[in-house]
Amino acid sequence: MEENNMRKVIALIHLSLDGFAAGPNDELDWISYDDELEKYAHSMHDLTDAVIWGRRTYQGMASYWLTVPGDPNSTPAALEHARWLDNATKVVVSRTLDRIEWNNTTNTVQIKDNIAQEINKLKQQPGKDIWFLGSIQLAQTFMQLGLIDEYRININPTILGKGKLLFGDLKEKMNLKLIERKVFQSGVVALRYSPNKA
Amino acid sequence: MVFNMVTLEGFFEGANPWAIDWHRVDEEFNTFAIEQLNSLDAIVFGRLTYEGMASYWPTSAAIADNPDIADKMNSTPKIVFSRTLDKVEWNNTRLIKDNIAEEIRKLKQQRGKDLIIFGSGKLTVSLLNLRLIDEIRNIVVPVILGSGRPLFEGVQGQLDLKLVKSRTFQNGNVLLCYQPNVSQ
Repeated sequence: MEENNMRKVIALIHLSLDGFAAGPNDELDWISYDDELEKYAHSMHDLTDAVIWGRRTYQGMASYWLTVPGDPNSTPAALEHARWLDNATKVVVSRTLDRIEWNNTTNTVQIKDNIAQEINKLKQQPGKDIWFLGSIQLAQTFMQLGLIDEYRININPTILGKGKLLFGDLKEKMNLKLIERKVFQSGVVALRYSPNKA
Repeated sequence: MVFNMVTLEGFFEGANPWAIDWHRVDEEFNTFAIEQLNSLDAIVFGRLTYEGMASYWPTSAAIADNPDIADKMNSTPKIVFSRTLDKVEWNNTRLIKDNIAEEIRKLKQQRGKDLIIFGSGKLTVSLLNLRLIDEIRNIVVPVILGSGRPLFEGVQGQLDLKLVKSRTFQNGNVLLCYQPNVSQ
């Protein structure tokens, strides 16, 4: 029962109807991203105050989001996300990086080993929930280790035919509990699940 | 129309044929299934799904376990597409050996209620590729298997859909109904 007081790790994932998280070359243009979905995704800003990435995602995010505040063409929603990222604790899972930099801020955490132990330590610290935004590979690692407490799966009204499967490499079946279903104008169905530990 | 129970990652069976022990079936589902069967003219299968269903539903075990659905499954007209089967023995079943696309087009033109495909991954994908499917109904079961057979494996090109209906069941199953996007 004490888990209720711990911070949750929440993964927000866009899936095609055939279970792909990205096209064969990491394409994401099939995601029915509109104002409604953006608003739903950005509702995570109120819920969470930390983000988890792998190395490559971190590098990609840093090279983009750090430029957003200085770019006159940035949308209000992008500026909001950039501001949230500045304030959030940035947790990066990487053995090879020397250090994690983000505008000279100190709210960064690098995890090199003992992922489960380190993440569970974070969950016990005070704070809001934690937004998992890592790659498909890192998501699979986290799933295997049972570190994800909530899945927000947005099922897009598209059959891609080929691409990168989100759940390609799980060793064991995982039963989930449906928490909520939302339907958007675009036909995206947002499903929230928690792992069923019973 | 094609109907399936799928996992969250879009598998309609596990790594082995007929690995469907993850299905979640209860009273509420059975009511839905009977209503669905009542709205049909015929159920359509590929060979593998036909063989599995035909070896189950007519048995006394199936009739004892689930009398209402067994009765419907046994009495509803059925069509099997197979080049290799010689004969079909399940009650009210018709075997079609060739010209699948043409036969389906012919059936669709007849007046009447809908045709529904259960299971039958290969048949479903070939009909999707021929753009002969008018509605996809998936019941998403709250489970991730990790390995299994994707329902839509082999679909050529991206297929955009329109969500026409969704429904949540008490047990966490979610029904999603789609039509191919006609604006394509």
